[in-house]
Formats: sequence, C-alpha cells, structure tokens
Amino acid sequence: MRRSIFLRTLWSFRVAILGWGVGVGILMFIVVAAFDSAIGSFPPATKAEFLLAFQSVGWLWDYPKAVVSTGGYATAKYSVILMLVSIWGLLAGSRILRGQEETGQLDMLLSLPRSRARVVAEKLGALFVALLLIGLIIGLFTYAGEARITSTKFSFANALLEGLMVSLLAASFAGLSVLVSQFTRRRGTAAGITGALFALAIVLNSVSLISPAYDWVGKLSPVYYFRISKPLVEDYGMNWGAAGVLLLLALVFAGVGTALFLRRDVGSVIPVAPAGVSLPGARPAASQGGWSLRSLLARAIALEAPRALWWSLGLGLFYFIFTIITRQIQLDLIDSFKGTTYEPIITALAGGQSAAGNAFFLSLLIGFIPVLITVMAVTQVNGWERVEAEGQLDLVLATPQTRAKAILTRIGAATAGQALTLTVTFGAILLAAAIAGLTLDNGKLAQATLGALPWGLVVLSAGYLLATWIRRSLLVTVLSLLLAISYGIGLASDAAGWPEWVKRLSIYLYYGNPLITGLDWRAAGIILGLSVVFTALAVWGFAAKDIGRWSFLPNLGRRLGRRQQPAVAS
Amino acid sequence: MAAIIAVNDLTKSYGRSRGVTHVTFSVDEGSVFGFLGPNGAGKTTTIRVLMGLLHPTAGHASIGGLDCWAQSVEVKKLVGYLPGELSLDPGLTGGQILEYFANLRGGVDKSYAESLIARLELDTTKRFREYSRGNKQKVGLVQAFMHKPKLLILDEPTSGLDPLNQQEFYKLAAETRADGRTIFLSSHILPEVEHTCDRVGIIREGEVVRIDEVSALKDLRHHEVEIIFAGPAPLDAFKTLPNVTSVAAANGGNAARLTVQGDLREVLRVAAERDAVNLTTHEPSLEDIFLRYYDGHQPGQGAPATSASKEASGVRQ
Repeated sequence: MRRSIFLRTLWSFRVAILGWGVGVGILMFIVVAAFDSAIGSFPPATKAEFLLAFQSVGWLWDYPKAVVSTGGYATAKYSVILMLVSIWGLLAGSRILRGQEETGQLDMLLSLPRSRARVVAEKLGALFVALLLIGLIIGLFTYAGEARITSTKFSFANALLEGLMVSLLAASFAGLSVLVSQFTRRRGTAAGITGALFALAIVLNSVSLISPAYDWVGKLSPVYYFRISKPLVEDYGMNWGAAGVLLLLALVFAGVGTALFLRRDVGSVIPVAPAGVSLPGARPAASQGGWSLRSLLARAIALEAPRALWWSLGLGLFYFIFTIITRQIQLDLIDSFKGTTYEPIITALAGGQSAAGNAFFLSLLIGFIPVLITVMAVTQVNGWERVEAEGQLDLVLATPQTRAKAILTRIGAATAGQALTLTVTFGAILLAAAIAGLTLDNGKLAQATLGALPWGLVVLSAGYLLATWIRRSLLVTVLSLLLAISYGIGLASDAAGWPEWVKRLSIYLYYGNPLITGLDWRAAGIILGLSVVFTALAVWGFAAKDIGRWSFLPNLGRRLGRRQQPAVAS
Repeated sequence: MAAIIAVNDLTKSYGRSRGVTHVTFSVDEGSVFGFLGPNGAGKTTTIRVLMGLLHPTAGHASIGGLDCWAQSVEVKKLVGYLPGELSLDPGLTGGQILEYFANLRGGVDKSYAESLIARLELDTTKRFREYSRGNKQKVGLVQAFMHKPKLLILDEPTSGLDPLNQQEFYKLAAETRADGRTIFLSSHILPEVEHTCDRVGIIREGEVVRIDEVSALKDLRHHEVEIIFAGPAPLDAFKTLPNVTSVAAANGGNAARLTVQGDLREVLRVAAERDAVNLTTHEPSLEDIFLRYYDGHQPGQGAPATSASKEASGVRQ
C-alpha cells in the first residue's frame, strides 16, 4: 500500500469515498424507494396536477413530462445534490499538487526515484478512481432503491450510468482545479476560484433553459453536459456524447495542468501576466494597510474579507441574473398564453406588478439562500482550522491574548462576512427587480435574504465546535455531509413518509418560504439561539484543548479528571 | 536565585502514545538553561506545556509563580517564545509579522526591534513564504526578543541560521543573561550548549535523566585511559580496581585500555608499579556524555536512568 503513490493517495481518500458515496447514495435510495408513496400511487388527476406544477417552473427541469416516472422524479429532485460531489472533486484537485506543495509533502515525494510525470499521473489516477468509486456507490444505492418499488423502473446499467455521470462531472471540476492551482500560490485560492467557476457553470446551464436561443450559453458549461444526459429518465437516457465531452474536459484540464506543473519550479506559480505588468492582487505585501495588523480582530477581518467579497460578488451576481431571468420567463409565459382564456390570470400573476406573483416566481431560487450561506460557512470553518493545523496559532497564543478572544474574533469576522454577503444579495435582487420592473415586498425580501443569517451562523458555530475535535482533513467532509443529509432530509422526508421528528432534523425546513409567507421568527430565533450555544461550546472547547491536536476523549477525560483531582500542586 | 520556571512531576500523555513522564526541574532566574534530547524525547512537549498550548495530564508547570495553564495570559506577558516549527501567515512580510506581534504584545521598544533586525541582517520587506529557512528563523528570533521578555523559551533557536548569525545569537543570549533575564532553550548543538548554558537537562523517552551544571557534567570523572607498557600489559591488576569499569588489551597486548569512573589515583599507582612507559587520558566532551544518555546508559552505571536514580544523579526534585 505505502509503496505506491497511487494506492497511498487512494487510501487517503477512503473517508471521502465512503462519506460522499454512501451519504449521497442513501439520499438517492430514499427518493427512489419513496417514489411509490410520493408519486407512483397518485391517481391520474393528481399526477396531472403534479405535472402542471412542475411545468410552471419547467425552465429548471427540461423534462417535465418525465417527472412522474421514477427516474425523472429522482433526477429532478436530486440533480443539485448529485452535482455537489463536484465540490469534493475540486477540493481534492486543489489538494493533490498545490496543497502538498504548501505543506512540503511534494518535495519529499519528488525526492524519490520517480519522474515528476509519474508522481502526478499516480495522484491524478487515484483522484479519478476515487470519483469513479463514489459514482459506483451512488449507482448501487440508486438501484437498491429501485428494487423496492413497483412503479416504472430503470435498469441496473442505467443506475450505474447515473453514477458515472456524477463521477465525470466531478472529474471535470477536479481537473479544472488542478489546472487553476498551477496559477495560485495557495490551495484555498485554487479551490475558491474553481468553486466560483462551478457556480458560474450552474448559472450558464440555467440560462440555457430559458429559451432555445440561449442554448449556446449552456454549452460553455460542464453542468450542461451533465444535464443533457439523463440515464434514469426513460425518454432521455444516457447521452454518450455528453459523457465524452465531460471526460475530455477532465483529461484536457488535468493534462494541461500536469504539463504546466512539469515545466515549473516546485513551489512557484505560472505567471498570469507578462513580466512588468502588475496585477491588483500581486502588489507587494508591504503596501498593504497597517490597520489589519493592529489587533486580533483587525487581522481576523482582513483574513475573512477576501472570502466575504468573493461570496458577495458571486451570490450578488447569481441572484441579479436570476431576477432578470425571472422577468424574462414571465414575459414568455404571458406571450404563450396570449389570446387564451387564461391570459388575464397569467397576466395578473406574471405581469410583474403583483408582489405575490413575483414572489411565487422568485421563491424557488430564494430558497437556496440558506443552502448557499451554509456552504460559505463551511469554507469559513475550513479557513480557521487551517490556521491551527499549520501551527500559525502557536505564536499568536504565545502573546498575552486569551484563547476566547482568538476564536471569538474569527467568529465575529466570519459573521460580518456572512452579513455582508446577504446584504449584497438583498441589494442585488432589489436592483435587478427595479431594472426589470418587478414589484417586490421589500420587507419580505429583506427577511428572505438577511433572515438567512442564523442558518449561516448555526453551521459556522457548529463547525468551530467540531474543529475542536476533528482534524481539518475530516472536518470539511463531515460538515458537508451533515449539511447534505440535512438538505436531503428536507427534500425526502415527505416523500418517504418519515415521522415528523425526522423531518425536523433538517435545519433548512425551518427557513420556509419567507418571500411569500414572511420569515418564521420563532424558528429563526431558535436557530440563532442554537448558534449562540454552539459558539459558547466552541469557545469552551477551544479554551480547553491542546493546540495542534484533535481528539474528543482527552478533553472529556480532562474535565472529568479535573473534578476528581482538584488539588494539583501550585 | 529564585526559580522562574518550576516543573513538578509533569506528565503529558497523548492517548496511547507517550509525551513526557514525571518531569521535574527548575530554572533559576538570570540563567541560561539548555534542554537536550533526541527527536521525540519530549522537549517540544515540555515547552508547549510551559507555553500553555498543551494541558498537563498530571503535575504542574509554572513560570514566575504563575500556573502555565490556568494563568497562561499572565505567563505570556513574561515570555518571548520561538517554536520549533515556525509557521506564520505566508502572505505577510517579515516587517508586517513583527508589527502584528508587537501590537498583540504591546510595550515593544521600536528602536530595540530595529537593532535586532539590523544585527541579524533580516530583510523585512519580503513575504514570509519567500524567506529561506534561516530568514524565517530570524523573524522568529526578533519577535521573541523584541519586547525584552523576562524569560525566553526558544525551541532550537539556531536551527537554520548560518554561522555568522549563530554567533550573533550567542551574543544576544549572553547580553540577555547579563541583563538578568532568563533563557530556556532546547538544542542539539552541544558546543552551543556548552558555550551558552549554565545548566543542562537531558531528556530521553519522555523522562529527564539528568540535570546539572554544564561544568559538573563535563567534570564527571569518566575517563578513557590508555597505558602502554614495556612488556605485556598486566590487565588483571587493573580489573580489581574499584573505579575501573572496563579493561581491554590494545597495541598487540602491550597496552591496556581502561574506562575509569572517578579519580585516577589508584590507576596511576598500579601503572607506576608495573613499568608503564606512556599514559594518555581522554576527557569526555559533553557530546560523549549526551550520547551515553541517548544510548540509555549513564556514565559508570551501565544502565538507563530510572526515576529512583535521578536524585542521585542531580535532578532537583
């Protein structure tokens, strides 16, 4: 095992393979197994109503008629979740070369009597095999769900092909991350840029759904090729051309990234501008303002600021575009019903002047705000854990600063970052609505955007608490999985007929639909209260822990031991 | 002199793996104390406990009479610290890092910090990630010294420094001591410890096996003696002497090679009686003593030190 870089790297991915494979696989199992109770057993009239409801947002799913089939329902319901595997792919892609350069591990590997090309090939091979294994596990769980129902079925091969498409999409972003990491000094920067490109790819794919005229926009996005191949959907099936494009993208990205790596010094970057041209981000560090060096809080704000700005820009742009698109959809709907008896109803609903009607159209995407802000929280937790894992906290804590202050300043700065991101999102929707002529209830819009802050904070504080006990390599996986499960429970519990208490385990359930009904203040208050409790526990745990070491039991033992042995010589 | 560091029966365990066990020592104010031991012996664990980064499993560590864990903020007001593995924000320049830590500490004399930068010839305009190992170490040293702390805790302070800067560090250490301040340093460089430190502690496999004055360690009556005779060497005559721990023939049987623990008077007497024509002795360097402890043997005892043997060998309990 340890003689081969390929096997060693693959072994290091074991938790992620099992975590992502089994976690997402179980969700697929649930949604497929629950199909009979959710849709399959509906009388035809109910099915027709269900179809109509899906058609009203058909631009999100370009196969509304197939939604009443097992595969169509599962694909519609969980496409977003399946795409999230790409997040692990891009994180791992940024880690295998740049991450190991940062820690110096690559120097050691390259000192072995193996060529650089072989080292990279073995690492990339392990990454792609890991993604294939994740896809395989998801495919197996999907088929296991199918075996439990009597309604329309899909084949075992199609279940595996669905898993393959998940793997190929993730492989394309993993390859892209390897390529991007040749241009950045830090792994986190490469992962952040690739993550932003992933978000952009989702936006481009969605734009292509508005009208066939925009189909070319979608073709610029790997997500488009994932979408047009639907092995589980009877009328669509596997699109081998799309699968081929994703495979080609993965190989080209990884190949170009490898070629660049082979030509550069280890630890250096490929310059993105000709010599003599100074880019804004490449200015000498000495010219940075001294304000950020004055205190722990100032430094924490300076460290969180770039992330907050990127997320603000990303979410702001995302929601700006979608608000504009929403108006376009309304106009298309009015056009398509022109001259029919439904025209007055459609015009009233989609005319742009009805705040309730506009809320109906926007609410689906607004519902993703708590999901996005919790993902941002995961990246913030990762940033904090990195500082401790790399030993940067040692010297800070060697100054006369309390541990509580060290952690609370970071939580405070991260909270401010989330608040900024949500405020920018709120402003972007307001601006887009004003430009597009959409009337909105600004109070409810503020509740829907700024009101998502408690959801971000609860994940942030829970992450800081977990960071006390779980080392960095596991933390993001564990936290991401918890979020995916929480989101999955929200999606699947009704269909699966789970008891109410299971449904209530999903934090996203409590967000509701604030653009239409207003924020559930009681629920938001409880979530906020939970985040206060988690923050207090995180401060307590951090104050008691050994810096640079992660384990739960010694802390627990210490607490118990201290009570039993209060008298330590002083 | 009062003890500024007091470590009493300190144990730190990491689950199944060992950290340090029943470590007891003290360091007098105004002295330079060297902490020696092989990799993984427990030097850094002890230092991190002193800095309040690790919680003792049992026992107690204090600095200036303050508990290193419970009163760590107060303790850190007294201390300048250089970790063994220096990790700082790679995007900041050396100057920014020093400014940041000066702000976190407060009370830094800017002109003194600038003099340290000049003495160590540190270029403060480069980003930390661009520094060589030696220059990173200089940043660490300046931040440890710049607020003139009462106590400096330095984990392998000359690691990565070139000989010129090592000399500059020795001067800094001497000035600090002359100023009445204390240095606690870990090191593998024994001549450095010999020249810099007043007292030395040797730690092996998590246990302190010896603490003594540097001069006392050097003056242990442990000698390698070679005696050349005109004829065959009378080995049996030496085997019965009380201070002789080993006897071997050399030089084709005309010489006796002895290991002697303690004074040489009896050996000299017997050698003179048996027509010795030449005698050479070799005093152990600190390195020899150190290596013997590494090997698990105390000079003259032939066995690893145990807790029971510590008091006899000079550990302050």
